[in-house]
Amino acid sequence: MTTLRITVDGRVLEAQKGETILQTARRYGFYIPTLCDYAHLTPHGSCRLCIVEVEGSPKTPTACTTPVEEGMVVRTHSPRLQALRSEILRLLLSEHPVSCLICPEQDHCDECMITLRKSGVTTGCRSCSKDGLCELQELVVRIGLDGQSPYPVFYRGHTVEKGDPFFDRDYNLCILCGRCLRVCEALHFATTLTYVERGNRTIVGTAFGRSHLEAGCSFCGACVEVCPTGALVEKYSKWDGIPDGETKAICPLCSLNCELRLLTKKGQVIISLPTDLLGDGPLCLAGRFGIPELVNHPQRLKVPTLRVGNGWQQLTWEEAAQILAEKLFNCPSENFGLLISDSSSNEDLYIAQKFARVVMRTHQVSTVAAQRYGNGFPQVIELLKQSVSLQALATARSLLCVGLDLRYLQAVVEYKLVQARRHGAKLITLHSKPHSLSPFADVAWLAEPGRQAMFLSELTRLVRGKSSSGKVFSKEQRLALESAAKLLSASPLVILVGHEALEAVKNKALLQAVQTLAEALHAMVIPLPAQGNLSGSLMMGAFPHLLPGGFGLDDEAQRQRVMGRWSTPLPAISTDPLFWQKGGRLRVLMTIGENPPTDLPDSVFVVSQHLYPPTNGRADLLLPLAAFSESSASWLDYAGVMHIGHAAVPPLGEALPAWQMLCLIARSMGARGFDFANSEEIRAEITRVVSGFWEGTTVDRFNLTAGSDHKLRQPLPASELEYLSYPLSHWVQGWQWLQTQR
Amino acid sequence: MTNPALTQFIQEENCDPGNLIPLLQHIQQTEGYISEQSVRQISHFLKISENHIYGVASFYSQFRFQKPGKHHLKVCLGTACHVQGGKQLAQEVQKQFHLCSGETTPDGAIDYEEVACLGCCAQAAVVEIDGAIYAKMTTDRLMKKLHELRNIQPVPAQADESCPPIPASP
Repeated sequence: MTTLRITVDGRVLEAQKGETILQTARRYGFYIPTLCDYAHLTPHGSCRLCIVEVEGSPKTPTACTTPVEEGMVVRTHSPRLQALRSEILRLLLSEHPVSCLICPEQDHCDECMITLRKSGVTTGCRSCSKDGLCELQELVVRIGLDGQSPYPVFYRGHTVEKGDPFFDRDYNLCILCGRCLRVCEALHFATTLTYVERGNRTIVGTAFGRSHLEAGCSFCGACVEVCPTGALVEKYSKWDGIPDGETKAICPLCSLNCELRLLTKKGQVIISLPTDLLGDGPLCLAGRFGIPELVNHPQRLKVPTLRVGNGWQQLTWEEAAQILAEKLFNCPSENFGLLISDSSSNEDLYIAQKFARVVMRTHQVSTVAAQRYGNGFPQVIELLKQSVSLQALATARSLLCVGLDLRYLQAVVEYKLVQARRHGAKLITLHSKPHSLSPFADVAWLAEPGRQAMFLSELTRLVRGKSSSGKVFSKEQRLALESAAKLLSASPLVILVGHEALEAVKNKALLQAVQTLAEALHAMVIPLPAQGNLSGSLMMGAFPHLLPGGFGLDDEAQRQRVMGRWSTPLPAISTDPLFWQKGGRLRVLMTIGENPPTDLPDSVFVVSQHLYPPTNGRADLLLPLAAFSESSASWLDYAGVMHIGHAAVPPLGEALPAWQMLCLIARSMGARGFDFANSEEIRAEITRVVSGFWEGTTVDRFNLTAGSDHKLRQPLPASELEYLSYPLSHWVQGWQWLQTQR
Repeated sequence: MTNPALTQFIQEENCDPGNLIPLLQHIQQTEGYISEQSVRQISHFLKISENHIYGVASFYSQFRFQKPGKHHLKVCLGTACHVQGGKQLAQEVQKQFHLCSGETTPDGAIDYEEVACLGCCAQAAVVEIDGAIYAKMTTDRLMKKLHELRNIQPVPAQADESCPPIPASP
């Protein structure tokens, strides 16, 4: 990298060859006004506000598009530049409803502006939902307009687009900076936004005036985040104004565990944003627009309640703990069961299994994962054991996606795939129906899950140089197989397994075929389960056959070790992983973040701690659960990396995190080893049991035991994204709308 | 439904995303307009999104997105025609036939386009119907002519006697 010297406003700066003036000046802390520029996006040069004077040049080039040259002398501020920038702003504002910015009464407006809010049409900043957050508004204040504008106001009169439940689009406020369409192009294979027409009729839109849904938009919300004006605004927080807090949290909606920036106002989460849109990647629809609705839902449980006859009685936590402690004290260990969601945090999972094993002396603690994955569960565990990080995509030369549809979920994976494709990686997809990746793949194979395994085994034979197995493939399919085999020979190869493949009915054969192919090609594998903390539930030992650390229950040395740590004996026998289905033996069933099963006999006392009331199952004692945004907690992602999220807001009502509730009951039952004051203390204890358990590192998954091949029942039907045993559409209206539009 | 001729053309020409504009020109030439179907087909072959293709095509006024009518009407809005009432002609067409520039009447009889200059300013106001230039046009005569065209079968390049057509300049 060659270093150059340039002078900016009399200061000599060192610049790298290939950099632009703007990049160099910014690095040294100079301020140059910009509107169309956005970090990591290709320079556009459309707003013209970053114009600078370069000695020897009669023109004023834009700093964002002009590369530095040796000996360049740049001035970023001068009376001439100020006049030009003012003029550019006036031209921009002649098409932007801006009456408030130039109104002589603006100082007195605060007293009467309330009535202006929420009017149908934006006529000025006071009637715009982005008031106070608008970059254009900020620039006008900063640069100044130097007197009255000589230009007549031109209102474009576009209808405000309110067709979808996620964001509103008022292109009358658009300044055509092109940030939204550039970010759309950078993040997705199927670009949704483009400039339509030209000249003064230019507008941002889609092909043939289609709706965003028809045009293939995945509603990742990146365009809304980058929009400098009020043209694109999310519906949920449209009139909430300026947020008063920001917290780093971890998304529990799928195994990617993306980092979130939760913006809060008055103790409520109003917006969730990615931490670094074009660095770490965007959020998907669920994480971007679903979270505020999930955690602020009016139906959330707020106080513990007990079923009395046909009604409900509100309790304090002490009363609830006393009732529960009494019930559990009289409950023999083989008649107790604890069912916990695999979207729960590590702390909740660890304390849940410790509670069952230490207090109740039973291994009957589980998640529904065993039932969800059916016969293929051991294979899912094997894949999770091998999983590498998504960073592997950066160097991959060929990519195989099995059962992976990224239109509305896991948008960050699409971004990594787009980047890999730009570096020349080849993309092969295998799916049961046309999906967001198939039009852009080098080979896109459509086959129902049963035949997908066949396709993969045939592919394995081909890459091993063996002759065809003689299975029936059409001529077209055979051609696709051959070209896929050729493309996959480019190493390094990464195989991504989506949750549709992991949860397929015949997942055992399919996942075995994936493993065989990965071995034959020395490929890296990335399974992407839809559950927020499947890895965590395995590593914390929240299964009847697993100990914390992922060791099998039959591992005598580890059993002794864990007993030593907890200074308590552990029951030796393992139990049925689907114990909760056989209600007959149970007397107390505790569910945490899970809907209680529907077919339980009346003799079972059901305790349910959840965000929402149960819709179909029965519960005798309902306890409010704190949402992920209300407690500090950790998650293990698909690759076993630990992420810690922090509490953005205090718990709703009297809600408690599951670990706190369990510790409370354990203490009222007189058990020792449950005196944790916060989640950090629990993490400290987990660190002593699970090796490699600290933030940002991959836990040691080497000892993870897949478990014996239980004769499991039919897996649950793969549905849309679930959170705490509810389909997302149950609590998120936008998601429901999406289901009806499909 | 894909157009096999277009598929063949794309394969023969070995098109890549850099050939988007020649490809669009080819479609406009053979089909008369850029249909949604053809955009989907190019999107599939070039592996770029339909929205992107539409963005490129809509930039150029030469590309049209509506099926052309049996008769083609162009109204000049150049300086001389403007002075002689070209704008009134355009407004009358818009009002009577509910057409905007680039659109076709629902019955498919007439497509309408507003152009900047037809190159015969001395004859302003000028319209062009099916390749023939009609000079010194008035709204009444234009409406009469258009209603005739809608009802009667196309008569190639023949104007009424009172206003002999001028051959279109090359």
